[in-house]
Amino acid sequence: MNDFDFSCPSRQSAKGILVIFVFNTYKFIKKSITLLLLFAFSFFRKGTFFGFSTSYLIIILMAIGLFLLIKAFLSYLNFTFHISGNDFHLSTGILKKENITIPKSKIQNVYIKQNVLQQIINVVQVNVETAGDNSTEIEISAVKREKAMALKQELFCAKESDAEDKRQVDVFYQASLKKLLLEGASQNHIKSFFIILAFIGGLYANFKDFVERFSWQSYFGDWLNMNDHTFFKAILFNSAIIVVLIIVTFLLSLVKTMLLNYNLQVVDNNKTIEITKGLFNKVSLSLTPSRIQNIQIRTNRVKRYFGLYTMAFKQAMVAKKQQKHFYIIGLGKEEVDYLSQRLYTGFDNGLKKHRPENYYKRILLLKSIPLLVVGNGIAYQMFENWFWAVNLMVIPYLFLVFHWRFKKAFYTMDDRYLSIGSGSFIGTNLEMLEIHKIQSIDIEQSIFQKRKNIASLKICTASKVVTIPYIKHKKAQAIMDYLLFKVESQRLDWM
Amino acid sequence: MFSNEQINIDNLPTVDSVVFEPVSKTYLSILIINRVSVCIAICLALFSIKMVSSNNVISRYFWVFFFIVSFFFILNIIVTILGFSKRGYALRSQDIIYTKGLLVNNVTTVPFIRIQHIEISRSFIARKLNLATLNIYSAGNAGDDLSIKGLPFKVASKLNVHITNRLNE
Repeated sequence: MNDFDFSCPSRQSAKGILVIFVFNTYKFIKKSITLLLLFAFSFFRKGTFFGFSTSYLIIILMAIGLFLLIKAFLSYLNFTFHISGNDFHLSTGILKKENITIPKSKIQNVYIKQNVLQQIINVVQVNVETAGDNSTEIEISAVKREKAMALKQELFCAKESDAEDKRQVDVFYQASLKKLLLEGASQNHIKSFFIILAFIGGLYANFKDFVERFSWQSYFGDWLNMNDHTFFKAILFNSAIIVVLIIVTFLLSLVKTMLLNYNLQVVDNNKTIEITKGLFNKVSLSLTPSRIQNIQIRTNRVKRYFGLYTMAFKQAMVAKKQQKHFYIIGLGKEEVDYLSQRLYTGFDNGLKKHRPENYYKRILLLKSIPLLVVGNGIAYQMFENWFWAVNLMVIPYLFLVFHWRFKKAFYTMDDRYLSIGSGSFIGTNLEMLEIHKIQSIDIEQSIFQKRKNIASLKICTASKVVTIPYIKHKKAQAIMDYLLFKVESQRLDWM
Repeated sequence: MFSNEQINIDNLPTVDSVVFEPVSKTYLSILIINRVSVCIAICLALFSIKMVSSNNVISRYFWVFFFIVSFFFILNIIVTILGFSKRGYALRSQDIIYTKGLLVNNVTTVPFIRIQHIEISRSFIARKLNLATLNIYSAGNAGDDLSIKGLPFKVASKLNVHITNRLNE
């Protein structure tokens, strides 16, 4: 079917030299960034750098550049791949030669992506992953799109490459701009707010000396000190900072969501589900139902109001960097139902929901004590005699969180699927898995739980551990027996 | 021949009725040796800090630190000894079960058909005492692999052979 012959070793596109060169340069700069900054700093202050003159420095930089270019060229020459029989072969390495062989049947993912550079020079990157490792095994950084598609077809769909090559390919879902905007706006901003706060705090700690050296303090410092005396103005100033931060957070989430999910498209092939998305970093990935270990459906209060759901898919040991792309945002209720049915045939949403014991509430309550103590401690440092006022906010908040955490916790089970619901005041999650993909089961019981005959059940699949919290020990055991019976009697493959 | 009888869930084999095989008693001495050596190392570190300079927090409150360390050491030893009897494994025809823990008790079951590979590892002291650790790797998250510590070497080899045979079936 395809015009490309993969049986004899072939190199990537010649444009790959450029891609490798830029990648290596980027990596080099990233690794030595602190050193370079130090050099630059001393250079600008003294005008020279360890006695080297400017022209010398330029020569040194050019030499490094040339070295990286030659290295890129040699990597390109020494990088070949081919398919023979049922194996994919890759040989790479300039001095340290490496030959990688992967049987087609063990390939879990063929992942096509395109960053800005690759988009400009019109090539794509192909990543091939197995379940064996935490990192991507094979990265081919520059291939023509058609060739990449053919390669993907050859590797991924070879098992069923019969007559029906061009099956009906219908775009099942396309995220509209409005949906993306809504998604971005309804992210959990509180979380990103604290991340940004921590980031700025970290930056400040790092560049404290720098800031002080340039005596910006004298501009701002006086102003700050002047207002310090009036408590009210200080509060106003702080709230202004927080409002600005909140707006920044909001915009950042919005932009991030837009960039990552730009032109999100879900295509339903017969065997796989293809996801394409991204603006600067275009990615395209295929989901094979048999390789999915867990599915998670997430939403939050605001999103549910707009009818937005996120579906995330977990595969076995996929590189962390890739794992985070395996989700579809902005799905409607029907689409979620359709996809769950498509991947987990016969999954029943209306099963009886079993809930954790009331003991869970007590544990949540106990867990809140340290939080309260710390909260009050901090408040005492800040507001002294008025510290107890903090509790007026904290206690209702904790109560809301616990109430909903308990209320949203449940599990359902039938003879094929297990699903576990969880959530807090804002978010709601549903975790689903196929029983035959369970790897091991663990009953956990603390000495306190033992007195109440309570235990938690931890269920491990190849991609994550899910927990059914605080149920009766007898029940936990019964579920464990049943799940083990299912796994051991069905003897189905887990991928 | 295809068959599809109804299964009575109450009659399923239950983990509850399993009798756990204890690990070797000699293993307790390894556990204690490990804890004692950690404690000695911490005390030595504290002591050397006190020796080198007397003008820091640790030197000034040396005895406080010393008592805290000793307190946790004694607590640790008591928990270890009491919890030792909780360690046990059971081999069933389809899976292997391992249990341990006094304060937090875990009963972990790995079906044979999900085991990826299996290995025996022996530390220096374990070799002297003729003990071994049986590590069982499934495809599950790295942290949840089963490792049965303190088996007599003979038993570990036997288990290893048995499980390997089951894997190759």
